[in-house]
Amino acid sequence: MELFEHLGLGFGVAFLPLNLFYCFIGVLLGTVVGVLPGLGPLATIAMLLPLTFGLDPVQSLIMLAGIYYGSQYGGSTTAILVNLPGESASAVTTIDGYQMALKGRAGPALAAAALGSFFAGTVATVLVALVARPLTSIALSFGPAEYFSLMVVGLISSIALASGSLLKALAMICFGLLVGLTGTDIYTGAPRFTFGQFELLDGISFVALAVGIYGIGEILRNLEGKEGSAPVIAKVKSLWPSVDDLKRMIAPAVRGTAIGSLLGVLPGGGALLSSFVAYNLEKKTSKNSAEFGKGAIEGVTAPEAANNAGAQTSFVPMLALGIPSNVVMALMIGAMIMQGIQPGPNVVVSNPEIFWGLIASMWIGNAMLVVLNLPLIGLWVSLLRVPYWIMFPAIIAFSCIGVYSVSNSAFAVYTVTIAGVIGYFLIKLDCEPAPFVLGFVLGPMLEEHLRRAMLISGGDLSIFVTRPISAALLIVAVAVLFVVSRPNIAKRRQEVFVEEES
Amino acid sequence: MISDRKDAAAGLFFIAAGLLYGGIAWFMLPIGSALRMGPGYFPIVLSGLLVLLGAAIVARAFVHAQEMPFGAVPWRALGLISLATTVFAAFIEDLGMIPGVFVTTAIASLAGRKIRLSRVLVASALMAVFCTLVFSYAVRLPIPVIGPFFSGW
Amino acid sequence: MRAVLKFLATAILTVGVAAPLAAQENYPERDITIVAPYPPGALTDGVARLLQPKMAEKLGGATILIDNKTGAGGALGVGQVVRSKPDGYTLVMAVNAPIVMAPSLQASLPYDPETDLKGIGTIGETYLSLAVPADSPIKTVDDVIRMAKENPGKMTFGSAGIGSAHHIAGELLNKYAGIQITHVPFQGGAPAIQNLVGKQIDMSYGTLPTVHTFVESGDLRIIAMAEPKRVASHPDIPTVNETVQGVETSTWLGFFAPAGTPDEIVSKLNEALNYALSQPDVQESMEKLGLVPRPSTPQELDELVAKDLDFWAKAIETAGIPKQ
Repeated sequence: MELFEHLGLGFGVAFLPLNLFYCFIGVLLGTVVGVLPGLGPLATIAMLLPLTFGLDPVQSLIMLAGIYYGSQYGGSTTAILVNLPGESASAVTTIDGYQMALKGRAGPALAAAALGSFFAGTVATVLVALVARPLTSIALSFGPAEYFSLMVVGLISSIALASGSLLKALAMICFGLLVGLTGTDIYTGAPRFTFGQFELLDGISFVALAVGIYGIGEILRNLEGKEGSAPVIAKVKSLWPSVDDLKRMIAPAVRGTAIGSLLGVLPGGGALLSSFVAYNLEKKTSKNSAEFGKGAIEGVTAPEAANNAGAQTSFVPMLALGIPSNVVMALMIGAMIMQGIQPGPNVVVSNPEIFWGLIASMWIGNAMLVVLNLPLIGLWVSLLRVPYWIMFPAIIAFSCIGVYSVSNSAFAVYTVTIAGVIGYFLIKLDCEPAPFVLGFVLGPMLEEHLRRAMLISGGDLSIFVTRPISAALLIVAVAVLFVVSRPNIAKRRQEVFVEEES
Repeated sequence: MISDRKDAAAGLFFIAAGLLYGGIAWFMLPIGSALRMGPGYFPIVLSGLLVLLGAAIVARAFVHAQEMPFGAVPWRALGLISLATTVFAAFIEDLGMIPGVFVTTAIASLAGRKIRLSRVLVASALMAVFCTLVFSYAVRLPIPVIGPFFSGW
Repeated sequence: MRAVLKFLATAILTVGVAAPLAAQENYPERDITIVAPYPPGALTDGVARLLQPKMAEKLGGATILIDNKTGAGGALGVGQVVRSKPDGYTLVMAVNAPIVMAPSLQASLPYDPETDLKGIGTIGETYLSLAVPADSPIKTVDDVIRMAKENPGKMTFGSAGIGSAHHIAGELLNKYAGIQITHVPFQGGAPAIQNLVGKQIDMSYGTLPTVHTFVESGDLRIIAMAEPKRVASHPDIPTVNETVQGVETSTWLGFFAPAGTPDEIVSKLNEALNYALSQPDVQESMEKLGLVPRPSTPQELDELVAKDLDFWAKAIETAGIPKQ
């Protein structure tokens, strides 16, 4: 059994005491920083990234994976407790998670998130071990045309993340792609869209952009209200889920895992997409569907499981093809590159201990997450008592420090301000930010591969449909576009979001 | 008669952004050909698309009669929060972690609905101490605890 | 209110007094970043990582980080270093192309190598090869010319980017053989070679260290060297020059700081570099990579840059390769 051999190699690497230690440190720090409001997984990873510089490649990636899971759980914690999603994927968790917290059931909600994530992580680890190798061999047949089409699929899928009109989501993608091109043209070195700003030659900092749109934008929306403070929270009843709660978690966890594993492989927001899809599916199939939106434990378990499974399987396209399937992966790639590893088909051959060690450490990271966090639920719940008049200035201070330390420049903090204000008004105009952010990330890569594909084909656009993989991917893109544009689905998407807002 | 102002505004924003980026690409960047795309080619295609989508959104605003409330804009909060982040960016190197975070948090606190001086001071002091412990000592960010601005004292 | 103020004052004093005093030691007193303007796995990155521990040792155990900043044939990374503070903490290791060739090939280079960069020392030199997939019908440079004439505008060659030695070699062959093979720039030599292995392009130039492993694994075949004369380590591989006069390039690696970096720091770095280059295990690894160590003084590197800038400006003008 090749699979066990590989997993054996992986666990052999991951179970080395030193590696276990780094994994633990990663999970711990990730959770602690991720639980600070305003610091989503992205900012957390970016901030803790320098800690991994001095380590060797295996250790640093293991620690980063730990940070990633820790920060993601930390992000879910703030989503449940203060209704502040640290990233778009946990936006769904806020719907029922926050309602549970308001009813004094923050403890069970946090437990559901941790257990659902652990289950999903276990299954997805095995899946990744099974699928990554074959996918890697296909990867070499991916030329510029295939990469281009793949990214188009990702961009189109991101529309499903946005509520409201299809046209606006498409426009946000285009706008994001354009803003993403800011900086220096990677072919000719020509400066573009820098508006005379010297700092923009290296492009706009992604972390700054995301913190501005999600962090500052969210605060401004909260301060719209009459009170400008968090609503009243019911007394905390019990910290642990009841037997009935546990029973209700099983089926949603399984379904969420399946959805997350499948969509996570899809580059370009697959993992983000999965939590939304899982939530919708649960809502349609659950016999408790009336409770959804009012604090159903299924509504926390399913998206969290899907989210984590997706996070796990999103390593596949990164390791096999070297393209980030979500924004956190983009940072992981940066970290790998910093270690001298070019993510891509060669990793599994040239650095098998890194490849399989990373996969094994994913599971260990998940296990540690449960061990570490279940006893700490009480502590996190007590965060609910922090009044909003401390909370929102704290979020702003954390965001500033996070962004400043990541880029070491004042300019990035100005970017936060500008992105926050523009993002806030766009959201007010019912333009969802998720497609914009994805376009921003994929913009330069999309252009790079488009231009290269054109050079190889002699300027013939038909290369995208004559190459079978590329053609198949484009068909998928068209199908997704068709599905999301059908009126009833569009309406259903809207329902999810209207409830989230109310 | 525009029936959905929000759609109209969003559409106009996209048209403006498209024209801005398209204009820069058209006038300032080499465009090249479909075979050898210059740095301006892809941006022009995208800007064109953005203008078209923006126009479609504006057009739809005339047809749809679905006025959704825009809601209040918290202008004071917007201004104060922008000021807080700007002050942080401009002065953190000079002020250092403790005073910098204190000032930033204090300005941001004023964005709240009900302002009480004691609350502002408590929140700011708490944050200054907490951030210094976490970021200066634990994570060891290269921001001075007390900046050079105070070194003359 | 008074309680609040008192609390505040105590808190600030406690934390403030504990503030670590700024270290007043000499350079280096914090992490040094060396920008390698190509992706990992390629020549520059490999060399930088090879030298990193030995240089760190000589610099009193300083931490040296390697930052791969790719794009525009290396000009993006060099540009980033040029724009950073000349304090010795942001440096660049690069092949000669973005320093001495790109100025004659890239229309919008964001720096002037002569006034914006200060040489620390040369590292070594290597050789540029022309490779094809192992099962390609192309066996010789003559095959390349024949097939390019049979399929005008259909064939492609990969390079490490606009302004790279790869790019110059390909365009020189196009000019002097009267053919038209389309130039496909990648973000460095390694991705170009990977795409060649995946047969996305017909042929690619690549430095020996980059191509080497794929030749050994049986994926690629070197058909010629784009060098003035045959390479001592591979005497059986012909040069492109033997078939088409004038198709030759040179590849050396240099270590640079932004102009304005204090002389003491430059000479410290030069010492560290030459110390690393003199280590037997480093020399052995460089040899395995296909790289010949060439230590120098900072002045020698500056002179080499000036000389090569001139040489390539003339060579590119004579061949009539347009700026892009």
